[in-house]
Amino acid sequence: MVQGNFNLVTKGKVLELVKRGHIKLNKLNAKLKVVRNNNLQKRRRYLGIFFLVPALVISLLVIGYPLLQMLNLSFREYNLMRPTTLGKFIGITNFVRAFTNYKFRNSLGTTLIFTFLVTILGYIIGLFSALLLNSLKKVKGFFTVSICLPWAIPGAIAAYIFLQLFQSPGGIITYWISIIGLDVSWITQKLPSLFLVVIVATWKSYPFVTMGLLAGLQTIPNEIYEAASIDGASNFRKLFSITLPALKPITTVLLILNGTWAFKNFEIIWILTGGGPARFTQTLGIDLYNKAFVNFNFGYASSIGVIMLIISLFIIFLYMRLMMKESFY
Amino acid sequence: MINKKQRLLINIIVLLPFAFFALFPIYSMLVLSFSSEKSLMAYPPKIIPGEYTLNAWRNVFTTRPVVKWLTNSIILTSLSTLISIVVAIFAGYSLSRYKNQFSIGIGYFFFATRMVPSTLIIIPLYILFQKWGIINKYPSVILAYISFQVPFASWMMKSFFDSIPTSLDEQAMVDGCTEIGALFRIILPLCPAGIMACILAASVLAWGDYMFARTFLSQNELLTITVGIKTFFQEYRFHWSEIMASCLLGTVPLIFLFLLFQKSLVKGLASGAVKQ
Repeated sequence: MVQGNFNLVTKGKVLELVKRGHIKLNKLNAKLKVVRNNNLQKRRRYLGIFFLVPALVISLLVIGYPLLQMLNLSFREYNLMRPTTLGKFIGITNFVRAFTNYKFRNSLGTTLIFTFLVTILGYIIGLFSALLLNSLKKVKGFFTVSICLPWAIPGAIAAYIFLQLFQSPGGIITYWISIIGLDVSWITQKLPSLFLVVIVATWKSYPFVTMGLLAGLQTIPNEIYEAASIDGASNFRKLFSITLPALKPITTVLLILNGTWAFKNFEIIWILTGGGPARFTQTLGIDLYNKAFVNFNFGYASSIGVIMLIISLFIIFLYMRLMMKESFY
Repeated sequence: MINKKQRLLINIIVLLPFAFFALFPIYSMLVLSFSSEKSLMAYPPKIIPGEYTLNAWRNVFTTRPVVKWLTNSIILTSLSTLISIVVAIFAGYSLSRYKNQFSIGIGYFFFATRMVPSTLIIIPLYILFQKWGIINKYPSVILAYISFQVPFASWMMKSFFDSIPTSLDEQAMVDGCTEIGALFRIILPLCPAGIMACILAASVLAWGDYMFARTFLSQNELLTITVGIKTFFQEYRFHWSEIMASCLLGTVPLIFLFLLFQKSLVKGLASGAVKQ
C-alpha cells in the first residue's frame, strides 16, 4: 500500500515512483486514491475562487463599474443644467476645457503642494514621535495614546474643531499667534488658509505614521545598537546608519499611503475653506466635487476625475516599482 | 554625563509639545462644549475659560435631531463593517491559501483600490443609485462604505492569515476538517488581535466619512453625525459651544472603540504593514 501525504502527490509522481520500482502498489487502489486526490484539488481550487467571489463582485460593482463609467462620462457632455445635450459624445472637449482653464491648472498645483507638504510634515512629525516613544518604558502607554488620538477623530470633526481654534476674532490659536506678531485671518487670506489646511491634515494623519514606525522600530534588535556603541558610533550615526535604513520598507509604505490619503482628502479642506479664498486651497478633489454636485456638470467633473485617476495610477505604478526593488534585498 | 534618568526626563520634556499638539484640540472640544456664550466671546481667549454651563448641551438636543444622527451613524457603520469584515475574512483566506496568478492579481487590485480616491467613484455611483432609487436611503451609503472597506479589510486579513503557517490548517484538513472548518476553528482563533484591528480600522473609516453621507443623504433626519454638525454652520451666528458639544457626541463612540482596541491595533498594524 502506498502511504504518505497524498495532498502533495500527483498522479505523475506516483507513476514515476512505481516505474522506479520504489513502491509496489495495488494499482486499482492507487488509481482511485489519485483520482480522489485530483478531485480534492479541483474542489479546493473552486472553493478558493468561491471564497473570493463576494469580495470580487463587490469590488467590480462599486469600484470597477464606476471607474469605467467615469471614463465614459468624461468623454460626454453630461451637464444637468443643459439637459438637451445630456450624454452626447464630445471626445476630449472636457479635457481641453480643463487644461485651458487656469482655475483647473491652479487646482493641480495646489493639490501637489498640499499633498507634498502634508506627507513630508506628517512623516517628520511621525518619525520624531516614534523615536521618542520608542525609548520610553513607563509612561509609554499614556504618551502613545495621547499622540495617536487624532487618528480616532473623524476628519470632518477635526476640521470643525480647528475652525474654532483658528477663528479670526475669537479663536485661541489665532490669539497665541497674534502675540508672536502675526495678526492673520486664517480663513480669508490665501497663504494662511493653505497653512491651516496643511496643519489640520497633518494633525490628522501623522499618528498613522507614528504607529507604523513604532511597530517598525520594535523589529530592530537592540544588539545592533549595542554593537554600534561598542564600535564607537554616536547617536546621530546610529540614527542614520541603522534606524533609517531598517525603516526603509515601512517608510515607503507609509509615505505612499499617507500621500494618497492627502491626495484624495476631501472633507478637511471642504469644511475648513471650501476651496479657499478665491480657490487658493482648491485641490482636484474639491474642484471635482464642486463641478459635480454644485454645478451639476458631471461630464467635466468626470474629466477631472480621469486626470486624478491617471495621477493615482502613476503613484501606484511608482509604488509597485519600489516594492519590486525591495524584494531583492 | 547624562545618566539614564536624566535622559528619560529630557525625552519626556521633548515629547510634551507633541502630546500638547495632539491633545489640545480634543481638550478644546471638551472644554468649549461646557463653556457659556459669554466666556467664548471673552477676549483674550483663555485656555481654561471662566464660566461653565450645560446650555449648549440642552440646545444641541432640542434644536437638532442629534440622537437620530447618532443612530444613523451607528447603524450605517455597524452594518457596513459587519458585511465588509465577513466578506473580507473569506476573501483574505482565499488570497492567503490559494495562491495563483489570478489571486495575486486580485490581491494587488485590492491594495491598489486603497489609493483610488473616493471622489472618483462618487459621480457614477450617484447616477447609478439614483437610477436604483436608493438615494436618500441607507443602502446607498452602505454600499459606498463597503466599496472602500472590503478591499482594505481583505488585504489586511490576507496579511494576518499569511502569518499563520499553512501546515496548521493542512493538518486539520488531513484529520477530516473542511476548509471552512479550518478557517473558523484554526485560523480565526489564532489572530483575534488582527481581526479586532481590522474591525476598528473599518469602523473608523466608515464613521468618519463625510463625502458619501453628504452626497447621498439630503433629508435632515437621515444625516450621519459628521454631516449633521455642518448644519450648525448654516446659521447667521455660530454657536461654538453647541458645535463642540455635537462634535464630542460624534467622537465619543470612536474614542471608546479605539481605547478598547488600542493594544491589538498596534500589533495588528505591525504584522499587517511590515509584512508585504
